[in-house]
Amino acid sequence: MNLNRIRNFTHRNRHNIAVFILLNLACAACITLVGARVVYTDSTRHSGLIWNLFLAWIPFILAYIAHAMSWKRLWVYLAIPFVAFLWLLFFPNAPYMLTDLQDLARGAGRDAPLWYDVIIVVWCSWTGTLLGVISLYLMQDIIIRTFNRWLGWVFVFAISGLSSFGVYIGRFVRLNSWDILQNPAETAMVILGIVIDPSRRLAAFTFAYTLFFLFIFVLLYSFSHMLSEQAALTGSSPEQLASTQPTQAVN
Amino acid sequence: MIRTYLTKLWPARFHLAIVGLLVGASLISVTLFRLRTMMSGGSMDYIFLLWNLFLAWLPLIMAYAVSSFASRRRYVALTVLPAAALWLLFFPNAPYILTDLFHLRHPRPDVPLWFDTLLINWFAWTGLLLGIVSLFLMHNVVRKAFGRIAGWIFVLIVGTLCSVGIYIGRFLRWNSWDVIFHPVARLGDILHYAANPSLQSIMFIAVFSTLFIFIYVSTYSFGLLLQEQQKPK
Repeated sequence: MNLNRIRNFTHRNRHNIAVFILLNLACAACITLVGARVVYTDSTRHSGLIWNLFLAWIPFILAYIAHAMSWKRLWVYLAIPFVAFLWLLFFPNAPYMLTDLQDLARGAGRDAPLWYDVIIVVWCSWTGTLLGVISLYLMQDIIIRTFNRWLGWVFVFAISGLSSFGVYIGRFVRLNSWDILQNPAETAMVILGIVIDPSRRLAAFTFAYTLFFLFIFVLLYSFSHMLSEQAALTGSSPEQLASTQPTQAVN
Repeated sequence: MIRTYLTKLWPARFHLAIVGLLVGASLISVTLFRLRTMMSGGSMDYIFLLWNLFLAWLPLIMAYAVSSFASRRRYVALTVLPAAALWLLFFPNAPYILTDLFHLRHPRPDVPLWFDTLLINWFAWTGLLLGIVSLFLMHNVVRKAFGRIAGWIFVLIVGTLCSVGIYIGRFLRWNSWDVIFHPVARLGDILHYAANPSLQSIMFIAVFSTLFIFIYVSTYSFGLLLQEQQKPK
């Protein structure tokens, strides 16, 4: 009886579980690659990536918590704003991994082959980006169910813009997510100073990375709908066909 | 008139969205490259990215050709097999752009580093996603013809072959069309290298194919996850 329920649950959520396991495997792979490099070369280069990867997990977990709570109407108004605020604070850590590629330019350390370093960085940034995309998707789903589809996409656009700004702050001003919790007044002043007097670099960087993250998000979103579209076009698997619902593409 | 087109296109709207997005991303990448030449006063660094992006488009076009040939169900062996062979030959060009990140190791002085990171990121992700979409189309053809398990075996084999191809392109500096123009010489070379593999080649191929297969599988399961979320609970 109980076993049956567990089996049912895992079957219903099997893709959720698959993605979760895949992400864990990816992290294990990144840690192994970095660990092998540290052991082999006696330099701790790229170990910062592991820390960044850990930070990228935080918004993912927060989004899951929010998504699980959002099934109860009351919780949506009481607890979710708080979780969503924390989520927003930590979310830029996920797309931040995309800019870690520039660590390759720090010339020191020719002790490991270049291709190995490139693979480490690519793997970490892919994992971080995927964590970000999934957590943003979960939050968008809450908005769509509570309000409507339009607002969901407005939310995605706004968050992409804000998170690119956050990545800029992390990359060039070197502030961390928790600075705003530790000394809010000081950090707010710093950020305000940047916003009032934006440099061209800030504008270009934020704009380009907003577009970039949106491109990745919308493409992965369309890709997943293409999976069911393909099934509907060819009628290959009735199970997938059944789950096809009318949805809208936004591009 | 327009309405009939729309009703015909509607079932394939996400295919169109993806192609549109990829075209858009390519245009943005080219624009960024143009900005770079303007900012640096006409330096032609990184011009190879344009060529590599063009090459990355070829397998997607071939994959679309294969899937339309396969659904027509006439002369399947005559049309599908050559197109699929061509696809396999050109496929490594798509994820190959990822290895252009190598060039970040030597930062160019005339443009800030973050801009070059952004530029190569755009090119690399466009190429990678072009590769994922074209692999998905081929995966689908195989799955319909031979079943699910065969489909995943196909993905594993292509993932490995593609990293062999990338290794050959990056370290031995060959091109896809060398196989067509100098088949005998290239075959001899490949046999020679396959008989005495270097440690570097084994490591690179193992790690890179794991990475690529992982990227494909995670994209695929992410897609299924979205479908799962949309089912009414």
